[in-house]
Amino acid sequence: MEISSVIGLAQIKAEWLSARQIQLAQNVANVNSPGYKSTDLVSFNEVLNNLNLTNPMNDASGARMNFQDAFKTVATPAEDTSMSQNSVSIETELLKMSETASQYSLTTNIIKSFHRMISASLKG
Amino acid sequence: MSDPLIASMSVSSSGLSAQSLRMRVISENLANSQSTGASPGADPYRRKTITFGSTLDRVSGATTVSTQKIAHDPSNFAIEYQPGSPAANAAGYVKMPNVNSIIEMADMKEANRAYESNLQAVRQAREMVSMTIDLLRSGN
Repeated sequence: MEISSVIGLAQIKAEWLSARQIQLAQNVANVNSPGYKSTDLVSFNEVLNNLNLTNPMNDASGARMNFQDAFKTVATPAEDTSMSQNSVSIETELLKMSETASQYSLTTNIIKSFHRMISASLKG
Repeated sequence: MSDPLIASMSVSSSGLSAQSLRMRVISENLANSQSTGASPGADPYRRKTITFGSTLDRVSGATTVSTQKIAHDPSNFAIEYQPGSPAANAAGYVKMPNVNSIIEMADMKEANRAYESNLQAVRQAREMVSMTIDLLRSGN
C-alpha cells in the first residue's frame, strides 16, 4: 500500500468521524424534544465497501472522490423510549462521542507519522 | 455545507441555550411560588411549562433544538385559609400558586445534566479541531 493512499484513507475516516460528531451532538441537544428519534451514521466499514476503494482508478491519486454522499444516517435502535416518544439515551451518546474523539486522535496521529516518514525520506 | 465540527458546535450551543431558557422558567416558577393575587378572590401566579422541538438549520443541514412554546400549567390552585391576606375572599380563603417546589427541583437537576452533556459535546468537538490543527505542527 502506498503512503498517499494511507493518508487518503485517513482523510475519509476523519471526515466520517466529524460527520458522526454532528449526529451525536444533534442527539444530545434534542434530549428533551418530544418525538425526537436518535440517529447515527452507517458504520465506516459499510462506507468503505460502498466507495469501492479497491479500484485503482478510484484511489486517492485520482480526482477528489465525492464520499460525503456515502455518509448515510440511520436510526439508532431504541433501548428505551420515554413517555414523550424520545429515544435518546444520553449515556450512549456520550460514550459514542468519546469513542469518536479517540478514533479521531488515532487518525490524526497516523497522518502525522506518515507525514514524518515522507519528510524523512525527502531529507535523506 | 459548513465544516461539520463547527456545525456540531452550533448544534450543541442551541442545546445550551434551550436548557438555560428552561432554567429561567424554573427559577420564575420557584421565585413566584408564594405570589398570590392582589385583590380579593383574584387568581395567583400560574406555573409555566416549556416545550422543546427539533428544527432543521438550513445553513449547516443539521438538526438544532429550539423552544416550541412556553405554556401555563392548567392544574388547580391550592386553597389556604388566610383571612388577613389582601387576596382572601369573603370566607377568608386564598388561592395559592400551583407550583410544586419538589417538581421544580427535579426539573432543575435534569436541566443541569442536559446542559452538562451539551457542554461535553462542545468540548469534544473543540478537541477534535485542535487535533487537526496539530497536524500542521508536526512538519519539522
